[in-house]
Amino acid sequence: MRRKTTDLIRFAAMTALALTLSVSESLFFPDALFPVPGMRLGLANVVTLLSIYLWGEGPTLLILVTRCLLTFFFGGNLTAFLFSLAGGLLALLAMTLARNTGRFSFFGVSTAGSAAHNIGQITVAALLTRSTAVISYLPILLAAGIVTGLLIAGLAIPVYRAVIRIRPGGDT
Amino acid sequence: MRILREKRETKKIYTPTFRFCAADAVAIAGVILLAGLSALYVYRTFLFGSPSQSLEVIFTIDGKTVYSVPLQSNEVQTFTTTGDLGSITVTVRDGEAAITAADCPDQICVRTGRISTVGQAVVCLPNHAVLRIEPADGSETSSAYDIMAN
Amino acid sequence: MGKFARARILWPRLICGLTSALLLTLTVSCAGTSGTADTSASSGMKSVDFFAMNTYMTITAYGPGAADAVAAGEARVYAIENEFSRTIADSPIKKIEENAGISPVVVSQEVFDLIREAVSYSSDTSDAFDLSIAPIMDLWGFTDSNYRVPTDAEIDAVLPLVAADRIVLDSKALTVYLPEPGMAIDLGGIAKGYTSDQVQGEMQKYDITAGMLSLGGNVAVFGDKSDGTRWKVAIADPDNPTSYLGILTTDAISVITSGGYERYFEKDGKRYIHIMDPATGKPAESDLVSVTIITKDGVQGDALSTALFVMGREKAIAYYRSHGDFLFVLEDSDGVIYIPSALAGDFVASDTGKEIVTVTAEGT
Repeated sequence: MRRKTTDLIRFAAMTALALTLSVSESLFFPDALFPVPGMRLGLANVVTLLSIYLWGEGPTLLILVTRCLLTFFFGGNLTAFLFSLAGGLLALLAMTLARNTGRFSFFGVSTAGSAAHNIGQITVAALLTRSTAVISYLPILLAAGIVTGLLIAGLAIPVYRAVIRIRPGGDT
Repeated sequence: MRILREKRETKKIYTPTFRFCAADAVAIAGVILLAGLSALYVYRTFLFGSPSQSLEVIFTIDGKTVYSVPLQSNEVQTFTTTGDLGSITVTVRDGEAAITAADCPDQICVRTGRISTVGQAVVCLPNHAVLRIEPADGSETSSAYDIMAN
Repeated sequence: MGKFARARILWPRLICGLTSALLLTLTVSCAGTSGTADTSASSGMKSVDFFAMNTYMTITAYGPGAADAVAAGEARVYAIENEFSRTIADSPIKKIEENAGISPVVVSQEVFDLIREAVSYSSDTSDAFDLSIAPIMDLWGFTDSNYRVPTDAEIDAVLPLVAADRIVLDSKALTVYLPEPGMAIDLGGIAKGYTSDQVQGEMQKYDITAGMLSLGGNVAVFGDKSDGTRWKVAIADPDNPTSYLGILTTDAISVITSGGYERYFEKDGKRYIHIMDPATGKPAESDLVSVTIITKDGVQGDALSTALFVMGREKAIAYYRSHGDFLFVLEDSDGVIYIPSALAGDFVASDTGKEIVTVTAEGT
């Protein structure tokens, strides 16, 4: 019973964090910065990064999908939903694979995730506009992805340490 | 510890490392390489040749194409055709095309001057002749405007 | 078993389900927009160019019905030409001319209405635009391209025939009568504007999203471009007709330019332009070199581009201030461009070094 509740709380807290990050991201980086409205840098990938190490890719997928659905319900923007879902899923896949090699630190895993996130978004944008013109933004978004990736890793490290400390059976 | 133990039973636990390592540098280099390659692909026309190389000069009389030649060429090209009223001479040089002589009373076409970008045209009304520039491969080329009023 | 542990068993199924949902959504949203949101030139775009009304025309349409729309548009051009041409033997306009001083001619409602509109523009512009200018155009050779400079005596003999107010219109019997032999009507000054409006109407009967026309440089654009941007219409530079004075960003509109540079002949070093001043019977000695009218109404644009050119700068601006139901771009012989303040945000001048003056609607 206690374990179940703890899991539920963790899940809720992580989803809330992801939601907050993706909402605040749209405040700091408005649509105008991107070729197609609805694209994001993918700051919510912080949660994905933490979660695949803390609980594995399964629960992470659950958090990711819940986050995307909730932003969709609150924001009501189908394009943004498709962008975040496609970007998020691809980032999760890339991060999981990078993690499984066991060679990369947070920084490497996160960079791979960000790059994949942006490739996913460009793919959706190309499908939505039925034009390959958006592909010309790929080099810029990939370069931006490196910066975001490093930033995300930097953000995730202190959070990870803090979470480990409050985990039952951790320090206490 | 129970959760940890439970997970260990079913799946390998991955412990993250926080120190930037050589593999990370390789990952970043990989993404940079990918960005570079895609940039090379996307901007290839700007890097490996001027876009005007793919432009074509098309000369028509009564809607029928008399000839079409690449706009960009190193030598001066001159063509003379017989239209409804007499001969019309077209000159293509240095990425520009013009009707340089025509047997027509008003000489509007000759005075129109030289054209060099997609969408521009020189028209000789009495001869029903049109000299215009189009992308050679039929692809879309960006122009500063959609249409010109004159 | 914890919640997450159960979730781990579920997750392959979840991934499969969500991926298919995502793919399905994408497919549906793409299928819904296919054909209309297509930005490529290969599908859903059709353009034709041809010679009609003694000029060069291009008609372009975008959308699934583009091919049908441009074909219908081109057909409409020929139909109008047969009604309004002065050079086609059986046209109503030619019949009116042949019966000048003899009898009124019964015409169709369409022909009658356009002649009446032309007459009203003649009186509204104090005859700066005159649909009965045809005998003077003949005299100078602009009708058949046999250019010559007539003597003053010849002009004085023909000038009384140029009088739009003498045209007799009977709206009940639908007749048009020119009271003196030698009088003639030439709707060339508004026919292209009228045709432009008509062709647009015809094209919009088909499944198209946007279209653009150039009827001898008289431009009309309508509908929404597939890339979501507004139309960009360049306005030709009279000094170099293949480059432009500036670019106008606009929604559906007609843009019609008149200028002496379009057509003229030179004799003994003097340039004679094709725009005649109905008051003198000679090429208009305007201080303007180019007049562009921007309006929803193609007929108005066509009539006013000629009329404001003949009026000259001062009177043209005064006419704008007293009417105001159109916008303009004027260039005078000093190379100064005049635009109304209402256009300032939408007109971007090109790098010609020409001065731009904005004109207020109220006057100074």
